[in-house]
Amino acid sequence: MGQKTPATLKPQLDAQNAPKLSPVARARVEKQRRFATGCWPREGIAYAMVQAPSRCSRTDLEEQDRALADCQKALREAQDRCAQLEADRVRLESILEGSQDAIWSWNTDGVVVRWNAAAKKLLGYAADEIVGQSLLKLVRPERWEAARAVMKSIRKGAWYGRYETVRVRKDGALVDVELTVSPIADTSGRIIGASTLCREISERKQFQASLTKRMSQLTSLVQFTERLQSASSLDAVFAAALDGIKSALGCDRASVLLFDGMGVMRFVASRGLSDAYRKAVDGHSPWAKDAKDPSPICVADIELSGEPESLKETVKAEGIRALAFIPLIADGRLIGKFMTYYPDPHTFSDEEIGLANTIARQLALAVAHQSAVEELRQSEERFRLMLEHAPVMIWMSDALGHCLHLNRMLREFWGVDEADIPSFDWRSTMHPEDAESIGESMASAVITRGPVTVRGRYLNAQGAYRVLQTNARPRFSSKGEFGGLIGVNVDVTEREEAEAALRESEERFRLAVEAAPSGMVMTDQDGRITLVNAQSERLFGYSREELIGQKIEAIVPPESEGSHPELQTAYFARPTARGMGLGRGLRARRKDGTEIPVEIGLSPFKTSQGVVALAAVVDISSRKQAEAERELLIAELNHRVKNTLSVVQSIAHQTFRGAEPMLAAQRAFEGRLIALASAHNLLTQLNWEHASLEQIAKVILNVTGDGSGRVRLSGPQILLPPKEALSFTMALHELCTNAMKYGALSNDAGHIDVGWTRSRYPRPRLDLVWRESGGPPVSRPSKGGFGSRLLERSLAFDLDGEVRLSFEPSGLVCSIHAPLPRERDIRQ
Amino acid sequence: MNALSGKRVLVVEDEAMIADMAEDMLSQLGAVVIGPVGTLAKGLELARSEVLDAAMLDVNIRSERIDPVVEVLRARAVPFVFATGYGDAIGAAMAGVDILEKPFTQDRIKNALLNALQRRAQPGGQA
Repeated sequence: MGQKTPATLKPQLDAQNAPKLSPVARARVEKQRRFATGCWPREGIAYAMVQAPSRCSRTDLEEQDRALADCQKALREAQDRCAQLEADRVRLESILEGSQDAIWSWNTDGVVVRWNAAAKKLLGYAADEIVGQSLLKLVRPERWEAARAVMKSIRKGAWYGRYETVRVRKDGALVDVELTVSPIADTSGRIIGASTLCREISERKQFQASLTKRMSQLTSLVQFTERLQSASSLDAVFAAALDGIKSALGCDRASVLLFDGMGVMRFVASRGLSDAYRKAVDGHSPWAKDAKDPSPICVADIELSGEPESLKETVKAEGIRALAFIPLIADGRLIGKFMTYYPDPHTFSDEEIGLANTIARQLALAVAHQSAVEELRQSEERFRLMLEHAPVMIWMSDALGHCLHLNRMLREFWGVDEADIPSFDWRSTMHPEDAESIGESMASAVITRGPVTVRGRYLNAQGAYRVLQTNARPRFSSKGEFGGLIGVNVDVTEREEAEAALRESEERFRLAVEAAPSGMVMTDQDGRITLVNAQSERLFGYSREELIGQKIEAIVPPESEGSHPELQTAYFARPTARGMGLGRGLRARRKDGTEIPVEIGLSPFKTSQGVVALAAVVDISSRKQAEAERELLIAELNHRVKNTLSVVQSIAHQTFRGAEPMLAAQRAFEGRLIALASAHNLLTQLNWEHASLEQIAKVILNVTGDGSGRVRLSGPQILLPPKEALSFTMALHELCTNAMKYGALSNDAGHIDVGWTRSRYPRPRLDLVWRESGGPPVSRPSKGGFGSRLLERSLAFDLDGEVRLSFEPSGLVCSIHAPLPRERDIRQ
Repeated sequence: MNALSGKRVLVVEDEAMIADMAEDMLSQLGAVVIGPVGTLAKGLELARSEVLDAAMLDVNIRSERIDPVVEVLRARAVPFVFATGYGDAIGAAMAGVDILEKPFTQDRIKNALLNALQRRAQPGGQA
């Protein structure tokens, strides 16, 4: 503040200079004095000195003395006050100048009157450069109106405390300041100006601004995070991300890109980008898909970047000058990026980049999580569709056995709508006969929490019972709580029918095999016995249990055992129904080791286990024996016939060798042949076993035509073997013939006694006597004819006995003594 | 002269008339018939005791096999033929033995016996 009295103050003082000091005037003087001692000490003192004489002239002396003394006193006081004031002024001046706050004062015209050092430092003006200048110099032109309004208010006594505004420095720069403007009044209270206390607040402003920004960023981040958490789809995640990026990073455009299945970076969401731009830069990535720890890339000004010109042009054409690539990393793997775009060059602060990374982490996490969720959802959907459309019936029940879920096929089976499942009672569809067993099995499965397999009939929507095979397993929650059963039903009606038919067919087959009159043996391709019937047990002497599972070689004779497997393999290579080993004299081995001749017919047939062979084994022992007997019989017959022919030949030989006339010889031959034939007849009737002596005799007597009863037979029954019987026949024939020709039967009076006895000791023997009587006189024939030769020689020869002919006068006597075979040797 | 002249031939045949005829035929061939006999015992006796050049044997003698006689004859290296109605039924059992089938003729007796005699003359014959 200057040393001179301000020009504006003097007239005021002069105007107050009244000639007389009335009490009122004195009070006013006092007031002025006080004011002067406060603010304007020099003028106050001078005024007191000027006033003193005029007051003396108007009062008495005492009054004048007193007044003088008062004046002197006042002067002293004023002088003291002046000194005091001066000290105060100096102190205040130094305070003012030393203040860290800029302080200036100005008059009511808005002209700067005082300017301290801090003001110079703050606003650049020296005191002499600004004092006398308008305050408006410190104000931006656009704020002049406002500044004038403030000045006007100040003139009216308004007080402005600590308001923030901007002031213009000498160099034109703006400075954020906080002003306190106080009006200055003179002693009369008239406002004569104002003082301004100015404090720079740029730092605080900046701090506040950055705090606000930070708050806004954090708010954005929080909102972004909240939206991410509530996002139910990837699109919602991207939308939240774009909003968050824009508001947190203060960019007007943003985009999110992810690697697709082919490893190409593709736009998945964007804000404010043209289709053309997206198309042009789609697939562009500053990092490879497997890049390690990629860092954000910030392009402060595309114009100044090292990017290719074409890319620069594309970017600029989109109205982008600055952009940033922020990598999205999930589980340590680069999955994509997000982009921020700015229309002007943009310096990316560490803080921004940090914020971007934070957003990127959140976004990557959300994308990964949401992708997993969507994958799970898709997987669940696929599973649900699979379950729903599976070509089997699938169901799920709760822990009480009520239906929770039926898939389409099962719903269609029962004709149940999905909505009706909770009230559907599957038990009512069970066949009454099956209900109990199925119910028990299912209840047991629920109680024991175990798997269950049941088969039963259920009524379907068409009103037909179908056989369903159910396989169910318990299901448990992740906490291990039993949740009910999950099961699959398969319609096995046709299978069941086929099985029943097969069982029936197999049973029929088994019965047929069992009832077969031959031994039936079924073998598989390995030659193991799989089936036998009762006949087989009898045939082979093994029990059924012993045979089943055995190798077929067990019933093959040892000599064939080695070759059998080979033959069997060959058979299965070309299986046909045929007889086995025809003409090879097949034999089978019984358990006791004996062998039996068999005939085997083989039939191959296909079963589910492959081709098997069914062998029909017939025991041909008895047939073989019969064949052997027949052969023996034929041989014997042949022998006998030939023997007989030989005998005939010898009869002819003997008959025709003699000297008898041909006619007689011929008759004798015929008679002998007929006798032979008769004996044959007799023996054949008796099966060629034996013939009794009496039978033989009667036959011969018949043959020779003598039934007159002149031949008497007497003796016990004696059975003769065929050969002896034949010999006796021929001998008796010769005796008869002889008797009829020459002996007892040649006349009408003779007769013959034939008697025989049997003696047992020492050996069985027969003694037979042929005694003729009453015939013509007998003489011994001159020459031994065939008859006597046959009797004496052949009969003895044949019987290994003795035959004696004695020609007694009364008639011929023939005695025959022959050993007899023991009776037991004769076949009875 | 006949090849069988003077040959001593044993005949064992249990059928008397056949034996008779055989004897006749052999006699006419000039052979000396030893027997004929109709039992095994007699056959054996003659086979052992008589000097023999050959034998004509029925296979079955009263239901018994002629084998014991055969053994004796073989031991004595006397050739023999079987006269049988069984045809070649016993051929398999007695390989190398001449079979004279019944009914026989004189010629066949002759041939059979000559064959048998001839075989004995050859080394290694009549096993």
